[in-house]
Amino acid sequence: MIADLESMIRLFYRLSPGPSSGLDRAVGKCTNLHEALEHLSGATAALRHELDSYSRGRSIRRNSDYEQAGTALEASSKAVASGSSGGQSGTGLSLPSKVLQSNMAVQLDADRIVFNHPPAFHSEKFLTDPLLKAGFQDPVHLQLPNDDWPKVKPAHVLCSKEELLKLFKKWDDVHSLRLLDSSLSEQKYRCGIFAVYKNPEKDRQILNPIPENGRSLKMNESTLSLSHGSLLCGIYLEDDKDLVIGADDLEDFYHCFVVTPAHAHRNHIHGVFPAEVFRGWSCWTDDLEGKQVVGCFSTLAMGTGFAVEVAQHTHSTLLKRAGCLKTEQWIQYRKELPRGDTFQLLCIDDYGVLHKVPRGMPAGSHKFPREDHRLLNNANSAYEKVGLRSSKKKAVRNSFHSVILGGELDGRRGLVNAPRIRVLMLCKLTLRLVGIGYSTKPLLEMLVGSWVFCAYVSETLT
Amino acid sequence: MFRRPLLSLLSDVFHEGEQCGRKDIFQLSTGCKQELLMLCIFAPFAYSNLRAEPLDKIFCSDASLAGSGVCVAEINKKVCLELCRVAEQRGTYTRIDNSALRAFQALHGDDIVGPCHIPQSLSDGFVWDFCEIFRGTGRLSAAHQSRGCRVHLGFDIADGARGDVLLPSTFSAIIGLLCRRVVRAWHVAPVCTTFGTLKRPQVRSKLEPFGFDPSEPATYKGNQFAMRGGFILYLCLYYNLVVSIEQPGSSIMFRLDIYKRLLARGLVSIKFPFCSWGTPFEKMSWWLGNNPLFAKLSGQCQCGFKRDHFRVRGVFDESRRTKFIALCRPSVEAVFGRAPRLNEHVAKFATGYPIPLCDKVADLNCIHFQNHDSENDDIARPFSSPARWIGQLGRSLRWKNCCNMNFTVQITSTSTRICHIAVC
Repeated sequence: MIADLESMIRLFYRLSPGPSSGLDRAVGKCTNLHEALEHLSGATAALRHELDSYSRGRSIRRNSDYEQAGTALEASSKAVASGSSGGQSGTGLSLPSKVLQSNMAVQLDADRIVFNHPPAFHSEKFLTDPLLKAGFQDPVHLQLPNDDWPKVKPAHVLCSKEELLKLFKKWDDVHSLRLLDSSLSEQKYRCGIFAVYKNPEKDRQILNPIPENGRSLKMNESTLSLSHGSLLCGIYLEDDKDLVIGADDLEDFYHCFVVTPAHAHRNHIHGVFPAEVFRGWSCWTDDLEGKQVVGCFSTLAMGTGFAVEVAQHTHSTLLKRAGCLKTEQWIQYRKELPRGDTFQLLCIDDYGVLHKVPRGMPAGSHKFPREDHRLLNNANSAYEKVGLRSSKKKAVRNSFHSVILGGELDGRRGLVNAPRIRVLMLCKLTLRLVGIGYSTKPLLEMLVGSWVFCAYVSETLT
Repeated sequence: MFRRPLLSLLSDVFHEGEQCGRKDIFQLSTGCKQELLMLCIFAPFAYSNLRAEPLDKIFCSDASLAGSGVCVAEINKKVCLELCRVAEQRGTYTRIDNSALRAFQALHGDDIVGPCHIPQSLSDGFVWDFCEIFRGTGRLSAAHQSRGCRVHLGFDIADGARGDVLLPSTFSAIIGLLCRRVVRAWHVAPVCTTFGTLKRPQVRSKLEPFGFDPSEPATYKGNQFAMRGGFILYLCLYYNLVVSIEQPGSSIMFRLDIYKRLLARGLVSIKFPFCSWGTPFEKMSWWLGNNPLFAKLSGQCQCGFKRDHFRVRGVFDESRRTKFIALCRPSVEAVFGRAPRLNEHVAKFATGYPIPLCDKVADLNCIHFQNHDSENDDIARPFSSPARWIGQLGRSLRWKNCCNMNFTVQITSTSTRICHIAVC
């Protein structure tokens, strides 16, 4: 037992460090947390100095915590306001809400948003749920009774009008922009738009159609079948077997969907422009002459209430028709783990196949039948036929160590855990918070939430 | 959040800053700081070992306010693995069933009834109470709405693409709403132009209701409307929804085979004249439905104008308009919502159901909803039910008592927690 624990500590310290690029999309969240902790440190520097008996009498310059305190305190004194509702354990100080953004939304920079291909995926034939199909074609079919429409909270566009126009041009270049007469677009139901960090070069564009989503039926039947890395904890790996990993990721999956004009009109964005601005663009039609128009995103937008459902539903139907994703191999929430040597996972655009092979077998060996190769080849042929593209950069083949759907899987050792580099970063941020000794609720929630994720991917401690 | 031992490290963090606002900075308690430090210390061990050998033991524990206990039994390792495989995943809905039937089943160790065979909606429940297909004037929808029912916008050819039942997306929406059981009651009034006996030239007869030439465009379209109406009725019967369908008394649509078979499934068939509901003209109406209360609507003309009904033809001139208004009972507004305009087509004005009839239908539907509400209480979401072999396996094992204890202390939130720790 002790030897096992020691070896795990050694393994953790050997494998967890790495360049920040290893954090992948978590870089944004970690940076956000780090900056919030720095603000917190500055805001509470004086307070801690007062309370910490060991610090009294020491020069503020000699305390590493306070090295930046002079400037930080000065800077933060503007940002930190007196608490209005400090409770029993409150300090009377508060952090401005913009310091820690819970939704990770960032200002939209059109140069960081990339669209390479026009939508080419006609998904209707893969939508077997009649209501979902009707709603996808004309979202009005999913609208709730008027009595149930919530009070509208306007959505915001997180960029300037010039930047929005620049983004519209990018959409137009890939035939994903449609114009709508502004008189046909109800202002309070127009969508906002923002970005989230994806990698050092790119951001991910997210539409904010909360007002439209609020008055729509919630569709979640296929969403319940989403696979997650934590479900891998239930797999039993026999002594004489290893687990080989294969995975594909569909490139820009949502933006491959061809949608009807009625669907596109649901994605109407705040910002009214004279139609003449768009003369010469591919979205221009003569009937718009002299009108005021709003831009509509003419493909499946991230943020649409039923987007996950549509994406998961169509992807699963597509794979089933290609001979993949058999129920007896598909790992899903609320379903028992499949028997057998092959496991398939599907999470929107990520498709993973795990296959048990004889222990010690070289990764690329074809000595034994390789169901994972057959399934991934079938899937890729099906993608090509319908106008979808799987990312070659993110494709995983014949690997025994890879991060799959949020879980880091070591198919030789038989271990599943949260990605170690993220755990290490989380430890550092947590220790920083403990060192400061103060927190705000959102900050603590974000840290504890991240730890709960780590706990998710660790079923046993032995 | 299930079988995740690391979560046992966390307790105080969930109560930090309870009295503070979202932006307020508060001091972390010692307990919270220790828990966060423990998380960092345990971080290298936050993994799952897929090669971990299963135990050859199985444990069973239970606790109530009065006591708790843990039992253990020897078991084959392969069986242990299989039990782990089929163990409940997050999100299954469980509840304690206190009914007499369940108690009987528990005593006898077996189920005596099979699961409900009708597919049920997962979680939506009834979002709307009523929806009209081929809505027309929408008076029936308005009557339901005035009684507090939540009414779907409905579908009508006049709405354009979104109401055209022959369009795949619209009909898909209707099927989807039916199959999800989000609408409690439906009313269908298919377009019947080619099914009327007054249609010239005749394209169908009582003996050949499907048409002399079913491929002729008008006949084909009429048949499409009729078949889609019948299909909707079948779905409503299958999904246990309230449904009614209406045609003029002279229509031969219900002589189609699909409707004959629907009638054989026990639908109520009723005929009555509109003059019984205050109109000056007779106009017979034929309804099929599965609300048995609709039988009360059936009747003959008793308006007293047996051979002197207002004739539905031409337009309203001054004298015909005056006569029409005078013959409406109790008043033209009460029956049609407004008076006819000069030169308005009589047939067009007479389209739509009389308002008193709509009120009566809405009343009967509401009574039916109340009578059958209790049937729908428990069917929104399936309950967790483990495979039968798990219960049989459990009963076949030799269980040994590991520990049991009675809770004699006063149950408060604090004492409950202490007892729980003691058992663990």
